[in-house]
Amino acid sequence: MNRMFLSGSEAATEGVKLSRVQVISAYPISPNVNVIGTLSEMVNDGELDAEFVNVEGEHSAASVIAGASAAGSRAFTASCGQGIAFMHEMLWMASGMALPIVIAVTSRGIGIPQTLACDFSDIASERDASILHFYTETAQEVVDSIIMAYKVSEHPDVLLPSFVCLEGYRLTHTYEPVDVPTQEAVDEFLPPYQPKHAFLDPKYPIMQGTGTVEFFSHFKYAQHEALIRAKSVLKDTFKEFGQKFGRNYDLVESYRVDDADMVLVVLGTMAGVIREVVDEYREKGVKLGMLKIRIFRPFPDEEIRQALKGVGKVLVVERFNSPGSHGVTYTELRSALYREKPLVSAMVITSAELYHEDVRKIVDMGLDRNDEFEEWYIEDIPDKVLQAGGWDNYQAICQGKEVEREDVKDVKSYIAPGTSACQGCAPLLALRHIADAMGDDAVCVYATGCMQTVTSGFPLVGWNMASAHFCFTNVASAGSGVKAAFKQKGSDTKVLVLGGDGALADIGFQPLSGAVERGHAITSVCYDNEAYMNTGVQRSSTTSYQARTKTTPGGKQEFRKDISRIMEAHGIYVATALPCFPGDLVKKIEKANSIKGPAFVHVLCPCPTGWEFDPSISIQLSRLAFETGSWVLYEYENGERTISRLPKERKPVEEYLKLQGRFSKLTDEHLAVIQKEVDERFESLTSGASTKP
Amino acid sequence: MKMIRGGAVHKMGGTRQMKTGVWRTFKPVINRDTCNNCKICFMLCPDGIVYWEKGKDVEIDYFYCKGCGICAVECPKDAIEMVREEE
Repeated sequence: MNRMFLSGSEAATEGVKLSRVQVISAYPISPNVNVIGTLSEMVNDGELDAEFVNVEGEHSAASVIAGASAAGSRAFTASCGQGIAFMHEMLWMASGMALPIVIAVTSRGIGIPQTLACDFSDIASERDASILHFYTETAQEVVDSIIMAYKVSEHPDVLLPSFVCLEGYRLTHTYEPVDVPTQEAVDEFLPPYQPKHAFLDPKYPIMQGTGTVEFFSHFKYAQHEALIRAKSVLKDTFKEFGQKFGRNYDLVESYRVDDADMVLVVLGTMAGVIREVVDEYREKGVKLGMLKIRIFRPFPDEEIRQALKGVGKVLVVERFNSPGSHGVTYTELRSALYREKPLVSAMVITSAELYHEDVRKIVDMGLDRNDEFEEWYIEDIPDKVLQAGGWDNYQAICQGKEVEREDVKDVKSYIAPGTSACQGCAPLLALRHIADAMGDDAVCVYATGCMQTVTSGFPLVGWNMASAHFCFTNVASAGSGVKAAFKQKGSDTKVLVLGGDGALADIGFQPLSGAVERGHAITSVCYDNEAYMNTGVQRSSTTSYQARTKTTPGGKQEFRKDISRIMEAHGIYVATALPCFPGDLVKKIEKANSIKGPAFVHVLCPCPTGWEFDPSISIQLSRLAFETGSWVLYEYENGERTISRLPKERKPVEEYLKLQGRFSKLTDEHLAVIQKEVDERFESLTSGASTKP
Repeated sequence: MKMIRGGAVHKMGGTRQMKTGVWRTFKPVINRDTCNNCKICFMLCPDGIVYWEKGKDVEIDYFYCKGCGICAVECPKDAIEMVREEE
């Protein structure tokens, strides 16, 4: 056993390593980034013998590990929030196929509003997908739960996926001392995955993923039965784990419940604070207790009944409310306690941070009241926040009044100053020129990413233009919906669809292709900073070859996906641009807007934070991209390419790369390969193309 | 609960209140003898916080200026110097 000082994220990676996971898929979504970043390093350093697959979206993250599991390997990924929502279909597919994948849910609320606060909505929304739910309170529980999750999931009586939930930021980003088991001990506890039911072997062919109408309910029954059997498998596994590693777990954890007058029921990290308040009240002679539910699926109704036998008052501290009904924990617990009939109340806290003072308030309310209640632990939004968000304007239009929009009169730009973009942010420079080039009859639809995060915090936004943020995955399809609405009404209002390379080349590529194929007259602009920067610099498909990112610690092995060329193949107007030539960028936006069909403008935007250089040379770097031929400025229309501008004398690509910290480990060999690729691409784009006069 | 459903904000440009100028370590100082008001500093400032009245000299808005130094590097006349802020 090794004693280590770990964050919840790192504890998860220790669990994955010790479980000898064979295939890992990775897609960044704060706060899973330290889980995938650390695993990426472990694989790169040879600490973990696994295939590490950087995917283009969570739909693929789940699919990759389902595929690996179907092929007979032990697989893992981590995700949360709308990432879990995006893999929804795959989760049902995986449990239907009886694939024992384990997913660490670094739980965060599902947007809109885009949030980092955890309310368990991501994991709770999958409670019917036949997946086991482990909720953890400490980093210790995280490492132990991952190991046990594989053992239980892979058990022949279970064969279902597992979620191990560690709360975003509360647990992923906090540190504590953890007893990490040795590899030898875990190898004895968790044997290799050797499925008999689902694998892919050419020598023994089986067919997975069949369809049926008449026997569908039988499959559903089998899943349900497996989850019910999982209860005893869990108990046996907990017992074995306790004997081997000295830590005893159960489906629920009772704390001072035996003679309690009131018991608080909780999931996750809150138990830490509540336990201390229970002790505090016990000192004062108040008989308080706490029941922590560790396993939520299968739901431990029998264990809850036993633990709460004779307790008069139960107060559920509820994170996840099912709107229009009741809290999820509350509903299931109340149903389990139906015959015993204690008073069961709920305090819905959703994503609130609970400090000792908050718990005392909640406890006091529970002790005072002798009815069954359901309250929300929430205060009104302060008036000044409402005003800042335009409450007055809204009230006025609701009352049919004319509104004097002082906030948009006399603005100098559609992008307001004071946004929280990094110093030297080239995407922001590009954005303000692009937005202003749209003119006064335009709206912007933008994707999750840097430009979204720095401009759209509630209630102070950085836009002076009518705009909407939908999701990461769908800016082009949402934008085409906006355009369709304007078209139907006979309006010519222009629609700017704005996304980063992550949003348009990766996770939102399918919708972009679809929108463009359908011919909506939208101007799609990709600000390409060559990585998922907003989440802390993870690679995207447009990351340069050999660039170092959090998920390519040894340098990216693939070349850039040439998204402009792919958009050209859709037969639309495509233009490339750079922030160092704002006049050229503006002309191309105006041209794109004048086209009666889709247009795509691709802007390379250096990022000081991600590319690792001094912010003051941000524009100079983009100029070097041009001067070395790494970025070619052109317009493509109707099969013809016109070069906008050519460097007088093409500089060696090293001049561009040596200023960027992300290329600090470049060898001469790499440099030669990169130079060759730049030369070939420059040749292929410029030869035969006409040049602008 | 008072709120605009869906969280739409009905007031634009609220970030104007955010004094990003406190981020600075270095501040750009324009040498008026050398500067010819070409406005390239405005064109290339990511936040666009260079202002001028018609016919008057360009002014940097230090309320917002983050001190990135792009203007100093890009000025064709080298008229901008990055000076360390006093405590």
